[in-house]
Amino acid sequence: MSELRPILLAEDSPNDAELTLEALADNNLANRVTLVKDGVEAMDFLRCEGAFSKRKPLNPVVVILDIKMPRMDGIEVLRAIRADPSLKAIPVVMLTSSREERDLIQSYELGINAYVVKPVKFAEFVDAVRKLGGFWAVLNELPPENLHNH
Amino acid sequence: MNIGSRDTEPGKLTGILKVIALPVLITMAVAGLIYYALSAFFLSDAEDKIRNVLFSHRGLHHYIQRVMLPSYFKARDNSEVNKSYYSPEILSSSFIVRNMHSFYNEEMRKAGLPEVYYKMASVNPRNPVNMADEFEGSLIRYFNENREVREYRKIINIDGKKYLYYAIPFLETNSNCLKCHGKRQDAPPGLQNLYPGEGGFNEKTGVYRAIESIRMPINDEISATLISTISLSVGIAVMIILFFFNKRLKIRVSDKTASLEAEINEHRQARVEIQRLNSELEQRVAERTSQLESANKELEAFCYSVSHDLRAPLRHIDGYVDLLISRCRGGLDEKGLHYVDTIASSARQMGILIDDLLQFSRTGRAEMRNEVIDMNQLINEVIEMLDDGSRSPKIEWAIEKLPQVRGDYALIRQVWANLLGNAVKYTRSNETARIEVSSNFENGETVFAVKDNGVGFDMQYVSKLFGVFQRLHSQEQFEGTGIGLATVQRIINRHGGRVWAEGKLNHGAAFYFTLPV
Repeated sequence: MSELRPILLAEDSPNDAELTLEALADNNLANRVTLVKDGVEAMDFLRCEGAFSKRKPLNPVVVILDIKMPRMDGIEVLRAIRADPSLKAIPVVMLTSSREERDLIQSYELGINAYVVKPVKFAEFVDAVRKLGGFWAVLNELPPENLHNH
Repeated sequence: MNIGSRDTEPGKLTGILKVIALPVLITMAVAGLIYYALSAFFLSDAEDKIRNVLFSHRGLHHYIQRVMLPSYFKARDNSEVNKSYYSPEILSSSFIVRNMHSFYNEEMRKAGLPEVYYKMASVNPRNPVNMADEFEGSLIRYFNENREVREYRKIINIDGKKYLYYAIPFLETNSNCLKCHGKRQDAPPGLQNLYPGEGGFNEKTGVYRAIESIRMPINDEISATLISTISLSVGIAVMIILFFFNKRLKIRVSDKTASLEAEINEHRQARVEIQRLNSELEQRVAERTSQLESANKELEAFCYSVSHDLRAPLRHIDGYVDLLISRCRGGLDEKGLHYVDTIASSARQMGILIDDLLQFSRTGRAEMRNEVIDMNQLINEVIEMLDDGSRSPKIEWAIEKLPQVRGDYALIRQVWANLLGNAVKYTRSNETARIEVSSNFENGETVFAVKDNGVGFDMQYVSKLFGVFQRLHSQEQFEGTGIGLATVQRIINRHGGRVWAEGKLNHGAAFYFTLPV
């Protein structure tokens, strides 16, 4: 096993970002977590463009998306990932405060791997994130990296 | 109404008078004509019969006078007959015709026909039988004075019977007549011997000596005339009345047809108007609907942002409080910990409130499905969720067999969850908790009831029970947001039902709702 793949977290709210990072940190994951503030930055990271043009082209082990983000929202990011042959195999998880059915339905139609509603209670939130991180970063086997066409 | 009838009655009356008076007048005129024509016909018929008889008699007179008497005189002149011989039976035309008429009447009698009265009347007869009475005498004078008059006729009444009396002048004396009717001494001796008086003698030529008269009963003819007149008149009257009624009927039918056509036109116009109004209404409904739809969309957007944006800061509060407690516990004293706990529980309570509000809003606008619902099965699911059997003492559930209903499964489930949840919550402090669910069919709808023996409520606050955020207990006594029963009411109303409650403080509560069958 060469380098550990990173976890990409797209979250515009600094508070939510901090709490999510705290929760992920509780898992004692070795994977590096990269935080971006919106969908555009998330796509730049995934495609190694813009600020991330110097990054080592390695797909993240999981992308955690908030739905409501400026410029490009979580649903649009998901659609772009699934439409890109080099990115479509990446596991994507929605971590959102939206309980709206249409968000849920749209996400599953676009091929989301998991949809998690952020609980108000932090303990439950930590638990949810722990399960997410544990499963996608540790247990889940990804297809070989040669699918990545950089 | 009264004005209308007052207006129409005189009109109706003149109409009826018109209908009756005109046919009556026409019928009377026609009846007069018919009567006149029939009388003329029957009278001339009777006259013809009379003339027939008279002419037949006159023929016999003429035969006697022109054939028999010359033969007699010739035979006498030739002395074949004794000069003194005379017999009225074979020589007097008056005698012979009179007696011949007696035989005629005898034959008539035998044939069952009415006898015909016949009289030859003379002012100067040999036989007193032929003596003219006063009237007949005046008639003879009348004929002599008015030579152009050839006949006289009159309808006379004898013993209530009608007769046609007919008379013609007779026996205009000529020179031949004077052989027997001239001077007495010139007449045959036999005649002179037979008639000792002056009767029948001393006549003058060119004068009518007599009249022949016949009286014939015409009662039958008159009856026939009357009957025919009456029956024909009645027939004509009926025809005229029918004609008038038919005309009036035609007028009424055409009036009615016209008014019906007008009515149909009105209806047609009304329909067009209704269609116009309908389409206007539809357009307005469509406009209003689109306004409502956009308002609904705005509401949805609002709910979405509430759900997303309002929950985020709550989560942050809870998250940071948790981090504070776990990372900085040592730096907080007991009071500080209490404050932080309060902050966390308030945030959680607000989260629940927001979730309930969103749920309440969603029950109002979510699309409703119409499916068959097994109430008993649904209730069992809800009870399983509410009561894991760990409560002590155990809750005593009494669920009757309930009918199936039609409605939205998820929404009706919410109703039971809220009602049964309340029952569980408010019997918590009971020594024995009993919750009953029953149903009843009343006035075309099913009434469902949930009764418990919990803390109940004071009926004076019953009106507040179903209001949003209305609570009858403090948060310390019984937790809750005051939205559950409002949600129940909204769901049941959307199903076309009603909700109400009964209760008594510390003696339990009963909640009822109806669903249309």
